Amino acid sequence: MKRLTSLPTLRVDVGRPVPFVYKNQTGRGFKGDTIATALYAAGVRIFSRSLKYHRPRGLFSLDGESSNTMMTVNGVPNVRTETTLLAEGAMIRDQNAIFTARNDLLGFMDRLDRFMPAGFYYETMHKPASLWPVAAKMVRKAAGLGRIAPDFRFSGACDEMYPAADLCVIGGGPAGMEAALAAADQGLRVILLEARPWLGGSFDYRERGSGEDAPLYRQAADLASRVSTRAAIRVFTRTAMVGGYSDNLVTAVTEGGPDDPFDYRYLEMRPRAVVVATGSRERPLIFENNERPGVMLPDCALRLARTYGILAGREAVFSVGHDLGLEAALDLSELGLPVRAVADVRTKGHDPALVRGLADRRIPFYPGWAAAAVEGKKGVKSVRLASCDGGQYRILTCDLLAAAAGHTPAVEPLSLFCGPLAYDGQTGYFLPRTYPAGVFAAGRIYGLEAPQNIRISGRVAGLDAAAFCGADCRGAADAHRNELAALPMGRPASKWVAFPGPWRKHFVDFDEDVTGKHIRQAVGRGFGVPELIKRFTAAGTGPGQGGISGHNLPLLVAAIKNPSRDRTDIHGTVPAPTTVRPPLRPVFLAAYAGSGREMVKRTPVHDAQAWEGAVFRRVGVWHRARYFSADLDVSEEVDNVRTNVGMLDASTLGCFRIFGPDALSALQRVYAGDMSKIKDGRVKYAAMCNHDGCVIDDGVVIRIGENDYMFTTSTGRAGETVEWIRYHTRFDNWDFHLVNQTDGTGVINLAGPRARDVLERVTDADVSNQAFSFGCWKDFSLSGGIPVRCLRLGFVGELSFELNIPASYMQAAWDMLRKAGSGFGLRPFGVEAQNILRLEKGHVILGQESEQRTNLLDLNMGFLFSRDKDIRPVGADALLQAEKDAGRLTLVGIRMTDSSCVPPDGSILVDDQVVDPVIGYVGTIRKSRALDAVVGMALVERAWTAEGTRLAVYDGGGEPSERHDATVVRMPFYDPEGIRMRM
Amino acid sequence: MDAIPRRRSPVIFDARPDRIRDSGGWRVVQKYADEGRGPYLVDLSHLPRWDLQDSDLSSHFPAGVPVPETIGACAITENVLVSRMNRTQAGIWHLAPGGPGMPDEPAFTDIRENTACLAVLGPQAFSLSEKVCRLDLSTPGHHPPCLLQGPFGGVPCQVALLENRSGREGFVFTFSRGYGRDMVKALLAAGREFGLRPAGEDRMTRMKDDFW
Repeated sequence: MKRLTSLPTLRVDVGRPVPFVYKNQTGRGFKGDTIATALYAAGVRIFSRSLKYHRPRGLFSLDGESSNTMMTVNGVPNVRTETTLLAEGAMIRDQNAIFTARNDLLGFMDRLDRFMPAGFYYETMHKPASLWPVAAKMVRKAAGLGRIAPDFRFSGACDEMYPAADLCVIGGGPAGMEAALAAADQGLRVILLEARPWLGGSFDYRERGSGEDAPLYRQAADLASRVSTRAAIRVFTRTAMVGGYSDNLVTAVTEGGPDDPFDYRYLEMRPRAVVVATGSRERPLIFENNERPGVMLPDCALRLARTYGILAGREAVFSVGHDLGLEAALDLSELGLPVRAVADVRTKGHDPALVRGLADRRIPFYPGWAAAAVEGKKGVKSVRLASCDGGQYRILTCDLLAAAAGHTPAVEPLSLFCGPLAYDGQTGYFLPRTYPAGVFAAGRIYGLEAPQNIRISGRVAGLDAAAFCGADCRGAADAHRNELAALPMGRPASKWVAFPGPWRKHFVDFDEDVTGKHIRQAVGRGFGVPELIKRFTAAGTGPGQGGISGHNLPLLVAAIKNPSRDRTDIHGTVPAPTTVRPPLRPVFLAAYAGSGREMVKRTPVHDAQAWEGAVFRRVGVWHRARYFSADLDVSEEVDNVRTNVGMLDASTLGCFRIFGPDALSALQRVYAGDMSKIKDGRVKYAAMCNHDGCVIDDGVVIRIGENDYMFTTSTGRAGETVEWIRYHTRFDNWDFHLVNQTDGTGVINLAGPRARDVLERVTDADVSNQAFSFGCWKDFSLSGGIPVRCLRLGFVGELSFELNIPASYMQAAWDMLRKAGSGFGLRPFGVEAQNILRLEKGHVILGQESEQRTNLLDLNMGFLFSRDKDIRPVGADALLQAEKDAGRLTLVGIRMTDSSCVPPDGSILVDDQVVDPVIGYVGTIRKSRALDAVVGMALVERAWTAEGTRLAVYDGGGEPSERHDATVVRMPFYDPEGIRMRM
Repeated sequence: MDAIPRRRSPVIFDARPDRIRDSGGWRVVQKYADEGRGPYLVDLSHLPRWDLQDSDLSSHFPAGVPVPETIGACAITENVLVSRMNRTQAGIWHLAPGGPGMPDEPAFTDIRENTACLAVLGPQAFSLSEKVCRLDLSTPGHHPPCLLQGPFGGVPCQVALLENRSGREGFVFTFSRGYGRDMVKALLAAGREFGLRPAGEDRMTRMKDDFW
């Protein structure tokens, strides 16, 4: 097709061809083309087949309001080719057809519409029930648009941005640009979002002027130039708003171009004010075969010509209900498209200049007429125009019918902020009933048509927004408001719905093949409001999310429910459109995911462990080394700690300093034990409970100075500890301070019978058992002066030195110990090995042996609870109560009878002889090489805690599921006297 | 005498150092071979940072200056930034080497090991920041130097805004040390389109002199 190349409104660069492949044939578009316009220029008229009836579908609009032009592009299904820029080498396929969209073997479905009434999905194939499994398979196979490969991976680049602004203007048309400029003049920082690749809105492609003013496209260009050069205005083109939420939270997605570093960019902003200036769109005309390829909106035909240089047909008929429709017919006629006739549902109120223009060009004009039907199976062959009273008709041959019932506001973004819409009799539009503070609207969304009015309304909105943000400009806003009020207002929108009839092929919703007949059936079944009809018929639930059916649906419902009334007079009886929800445009989930960065903490010796073969697992916010081999039993790691020496990176444990005159009081409040009894140089094991007495954390506390303490927490609780302590002392007015030193304190747990040998090689300090016994701590230095705070603990049941080292020195200390330990069999061990070692020793890990209902007493840790200290600790009341409660679970050790059977952690314990057969559950259970047995810890009801009691462990995950015998045994399993850790 | 053990920053730049200085175990890159034309990402983690907490902050004069009375306000001496975080807490960050030592008072805690510290300096620093955080650094309502607290790159941060004039933007921020590697990765990825490059300590010194 030869393009119109000399138009000043053209947005394609005909000097820069862009090749593409469609149906294995190479085609050519131009830079600036969308895929759909390039295909249209190449002669493609049928882009897809419809969902249910497999009817041929073609280009209808250019803003992606329906699934008509959704195609598979580069393997990605359901690409909206109307709005997707053509990229070089794009591989394009049509979809939802067997064979091709033009010759679809499922095209016969169109004749089966009688068997698919409204509510088809709800009512068919459920009886007999035995039929459903077969039917379900068939329905699932036939339903849905596009096919995606199971192994499809999104290959684009996505990121995100959180731009800050005082005002966000949605819509880069003349009203939006005026609003942005007016607000910027008042000192506001403005963000302007425009879904199309350029600013200008409805002015961009219109050459007709406004009286003596410059042509509209020049006005648009002038505004765009002013907007683009204002530092206070940030323009985001190809950026569609997708979400609007309370407190002016706005989300949008930018589609990247060839020069952008992203394919999709998610934008999230929270401006103080929002101006919605998204204009209006043409309301589809409902008539027989109103979605045949060759039927399109007048605005679409005009933009095809003006923006892309494409004349949409060889002979056209127009059926409109608005002056812009008349303008499109006249303009296209002047551009060389033969227009056989123009019908207008309005009998009066036309712009006389436009009517005169039609007459000058000898184009027959039919006021009070509309398109009633289109003939042609795969395209338009003729159109039947009829007078709205049904008394006369004419049949005209043509290949293009540009049809619309009139305008309707593009109100979806506004309704996200404002809630339900209501019919406005003055404009004939569905508009919000109320506006939240800081939300304003402007332009054609209010039914304004005159260019001057549109621009002034933008200024008013911009100034109102500025005033809302605190600028002193209410007077200026009022002045413009008065100026606008003095101008003639736009005429109310046409209320035409459809000619009476069965509406069998009168499509209300293209995506779901919903016809007027379906709507009538739904109303007849008692579904009286659009929200229910939507669910019963699926109207508005397709990819376009009501873009086509949106405002026709309530108008049609009103016409059906009030047949006795003049359907052009439905004011006050019109049901509301259905609720609009984000995202307004389809968005790849990948776009929401953005850059997908994962912010994880790494310990200072992460790399060193990785080099030694560590397998990391995420633990809370940290990456921790779980294993140091592919052997998930970690037997070598465990054995080495038991026989030689190992070192564990425990840097993820929480570490805090608390100081100040009331530091001790704060500790007394949050710890169950008596912190006043901490002895100098000694370590105190302590636990925190919540108000239910349930254990939430454990760790050690040491006194490092006058009113100065250090304490540790578990890895998972470190992030909440400061808030926890502040919360539980909030009424005490105590003077104490907390510093979270978790990240700054690297911890190496040097454990095993040779641990002292290794440590003595790297320090001059006396670390003998006499000078530094179990349960003590001391500060000393490693070689080179690395400061260390060392705690003699025994979590894994062996001689252990817990070395607390400044994080920046950790790598040096790790290397030093590694070297010193080479002669003693030193090797690192991971969290899983620690898990087994401490299990053998009978030491609990909160979250493994406990859950949120487990209190201190249940874990046999009542010794940590001080009942008589001055400051009542958190959870004391509940613990005192629990002491009298015999119905609680108690921690016991268990040994499996079959030493080859290792049930999974969490397995339940059962006893069929009682009413409630579940009597407890296993916390952790592992094969112990040191004990040559499978041992674990379990919480069981009191009646089953006696040593020697037989228990049945139910392995629900086994194949087959079965029970295994276990016996309650005494803990600790390993070194019960604790000799080894006191060496 | 044992060699001084090497201390390591939580931040690693994949860039070739051009000039390095040793300081107390730290190997500090003063300049990288290709620092670009800005914006610049500078690692200041090796410089001292202190936490000051007291019910009466007015009695303290860290680095010789009083703690600002207004929460969020900052004071700057030659090499040190003092920021008021809340009623009882202040942060003291050294922005260049050669500052004073930490007072020997219990109210002070050396938190250099706890946090990583990065500076983003130069043109489009704010364009970068809005790709990783929701904090509004560019608003004219801020009067630098000032402190903002909130998530940056998805993790809790304290951000000191140094300058917000167009083309001379700059901010320094601290965050938990463990996030160092992922934070740098996130920033460099987000800043690629603006030409963000790692820069040495000298860049901070130069910019600091330029700012004040």
